[in-house]
Amino acid sequence: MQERAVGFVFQHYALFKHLTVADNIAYGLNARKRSDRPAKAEIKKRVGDLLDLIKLSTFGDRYPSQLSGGQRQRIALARALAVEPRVLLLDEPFGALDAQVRKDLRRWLREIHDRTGQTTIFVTHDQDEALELSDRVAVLGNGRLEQVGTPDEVQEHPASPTVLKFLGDTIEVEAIAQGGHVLVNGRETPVSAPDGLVGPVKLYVRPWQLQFADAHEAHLEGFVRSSYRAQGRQRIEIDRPNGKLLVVEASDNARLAAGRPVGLKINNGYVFSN
Amino acid sequence: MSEAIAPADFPAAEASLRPPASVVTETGWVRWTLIAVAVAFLALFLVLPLVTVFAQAFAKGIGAYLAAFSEPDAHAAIKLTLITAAIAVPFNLVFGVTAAWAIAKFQFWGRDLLVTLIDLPFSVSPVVSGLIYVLVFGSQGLLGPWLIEHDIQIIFAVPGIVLATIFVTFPFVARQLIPLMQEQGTVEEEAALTLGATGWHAFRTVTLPNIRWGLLYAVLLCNARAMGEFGAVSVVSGHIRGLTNTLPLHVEILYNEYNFVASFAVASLLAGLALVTLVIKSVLEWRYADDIAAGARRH
Amino acid sequence: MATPSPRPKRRFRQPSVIPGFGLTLGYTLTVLSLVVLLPLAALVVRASGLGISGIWDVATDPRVASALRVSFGVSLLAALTASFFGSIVAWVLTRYDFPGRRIIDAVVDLPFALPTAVAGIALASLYAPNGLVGEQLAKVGIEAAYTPVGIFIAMVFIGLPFAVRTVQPLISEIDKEVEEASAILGSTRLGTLTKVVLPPLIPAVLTGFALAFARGVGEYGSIIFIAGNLPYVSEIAPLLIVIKLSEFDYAGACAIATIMLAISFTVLLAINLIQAWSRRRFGYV
Repeated sequence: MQERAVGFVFQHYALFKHLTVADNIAYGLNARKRSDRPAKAEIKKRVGDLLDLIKLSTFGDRYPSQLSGGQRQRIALARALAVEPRVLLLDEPFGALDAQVRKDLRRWLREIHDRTGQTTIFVTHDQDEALELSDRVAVLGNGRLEQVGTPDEVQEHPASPTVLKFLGDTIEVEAIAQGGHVLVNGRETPVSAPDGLVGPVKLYVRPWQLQFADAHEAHLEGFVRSSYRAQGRQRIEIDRPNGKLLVVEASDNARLAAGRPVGLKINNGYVFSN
Repeated sequence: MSEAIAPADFPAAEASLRPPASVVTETGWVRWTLIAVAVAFLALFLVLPLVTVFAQAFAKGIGAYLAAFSEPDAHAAIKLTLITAAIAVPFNLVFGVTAAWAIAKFQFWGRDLLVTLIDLPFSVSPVVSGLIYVLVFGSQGLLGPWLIEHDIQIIFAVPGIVLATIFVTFPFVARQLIPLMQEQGTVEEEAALTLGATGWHAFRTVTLPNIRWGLLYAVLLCNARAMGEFGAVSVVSGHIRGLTNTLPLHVEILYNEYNFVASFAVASLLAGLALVTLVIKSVLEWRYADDIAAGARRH
Repeated sequence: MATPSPRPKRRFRQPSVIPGFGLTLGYTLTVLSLVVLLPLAALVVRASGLGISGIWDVATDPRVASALRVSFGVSLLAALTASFFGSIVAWVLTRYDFPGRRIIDAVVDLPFALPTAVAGIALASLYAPNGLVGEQLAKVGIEAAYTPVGIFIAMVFIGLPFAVRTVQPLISEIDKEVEEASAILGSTRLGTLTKVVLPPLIPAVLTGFALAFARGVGEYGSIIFIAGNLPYVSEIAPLLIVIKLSEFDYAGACAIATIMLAISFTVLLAINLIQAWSRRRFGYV
């Protein structure tokens, strides 16, 4: 394990609680064989530079127990970087932190990455994190690699329903491919079917690809179950005839009473064979 | 619409919502009676004997007390006790740490069984502990003829005493460290390895510092037992004055010769050791409770 | 990071990146075998050489039977006493605060730390007819030293820490809210104690009792000075083993030792069963 030169950052930091912050960061360098070890002064300088990089310059003499979760994770990162690994591997590093700290650290990590150019593999189940941070995303499902691509590619051209469902809310709709178009409930949608695909297909629609419409335009219909406000938008729950629940967002001034029938038209979507 | 209810309409909230103090704890006199019973019991059964040791030791004055230590036999006993502890404690320390590493840092079939086996010496009577070594190394024992042939004396000699002491104090360090190291897990060691440390380096710089207080605590108890062991050592020792008598055995000899003052004087040395052990033990428990044991107190 | 995978086949140990498994396990097993298992095996081998009938003969020898009766009988009484008072001590130390509580708490461990021979001579001189306590007892006609009473006293001494320390952690974990709930529902203090607070402590008290009992049976140093050691009257089983050894009656010594070991292991088993029952009944040990 030692020879693989992989820098590892754990979800629960795994800092050495009996060592100071500076000693933690210097650990990898001090652990080297005498012949490979840099001079004491050099190590001290390296630690100092890393502390500056993670913006904790005055924390060198503190102990991990005196720091917050976010600070500890930054030190864990510095410690991993100190040995100049070929690859940095972060295993859900922000999982143990609360939402705001997580957002801040995400931004900070991106900056560090851009500054150091360190090859980094970031493992997460939070798709916002994955899309915000990465140059390339690999989506795994059930132990299989489903797709590798840039964040844009993966969102715009998902290779499978697994990828699609992982990367955001989806509404699954039974549809029929016919003559190059996709039809839902007998009505044509703007979604085109891939070449040669005919017959029953699965259409996946993102909530924002739906629009309220009258009965003569709508592809889907149902009854409003409830409508509530969240983060400046109205979230509307709709019961569909097939028993499934559909949740869409609308602007704040849309007020829909419970029980009211609604129609939705599909503006776009992703097609996969059954 | 009814009128708003004024705060004054409510009875004094605090007093009526909590049950009266007398139903969540025993009434005063019951409490103090129990305390008195407990303290009296402890005083009678525990403190009094301890005080007796020192009272009897000094019964004939300081002169007689010190005279007990000027005997060459006393010197030999002290020396033997120290040598025995100096061998047994480090031996069990190394074993304890090694066993705790194997058991706490890895998962394997038979782990619980191994822990139970290591604990065995605790459930064996001291006399039986000595007996089994006589059975192996005694003149009529398993290795008896072989030992006689090679002119090696184990039973009725120092090696036997050391072996019996090792047996009796065998589990002390292991059973203290195993739960502690299990609770600490393997994360820090794994982190050290990812940073390029060898296993040995990780052990030295990460594991050892994390267990240092538990280790000290365990060594303390192990040492107290090693120096004070009587039953097992008595069986293997042969009671040869000046040669195979440890301090506890020496105490016995003096007592059986009705040399009470000397006996208690030597005993006071051991009692003093016990007190020092208790004090350090308590201090460690108060200050480093989390670092010496996992969860509840263990013995 | 774990991804689901097909069920792994049973293996001896789980994979780990930590090094040193083979070395440390090997050392552990070797030392364990040499120091503990082989000598104990020697005892088992010797004893089995006698056979069940041989051991039975030894066990039913009048002197041996007496010694076993004394050892087990007195230890039973002593363990009960130690358990009873030990529980009170544990309760008082955990639930009440009074001056000197911490020191008294530390004192409870004294029998653990004090060498058995030192305890033995101290108890003997204390309860001898001319000793501090012995004198007072003599006035009421009780002979303590050199009789089974002395043995009882010594066994209470050594059993006490077990009785206290097994119960203490449970008392400190008693949920105050449950007590209050009981009181709010109208129970008297005594009712709350007997129906709510004390029942979950029973397994710990039983365990402490069993440990004190097992320890008392095997104890040697603290007892032989105060015991009197008269065959058939105040002779304990461990002493009989020593005597038989000095007479080179290895077989007899082994037989008695085996009987004692068998009973110790039965007690250990009982403790494990108690703890298993307790876990099922109360959810914890």
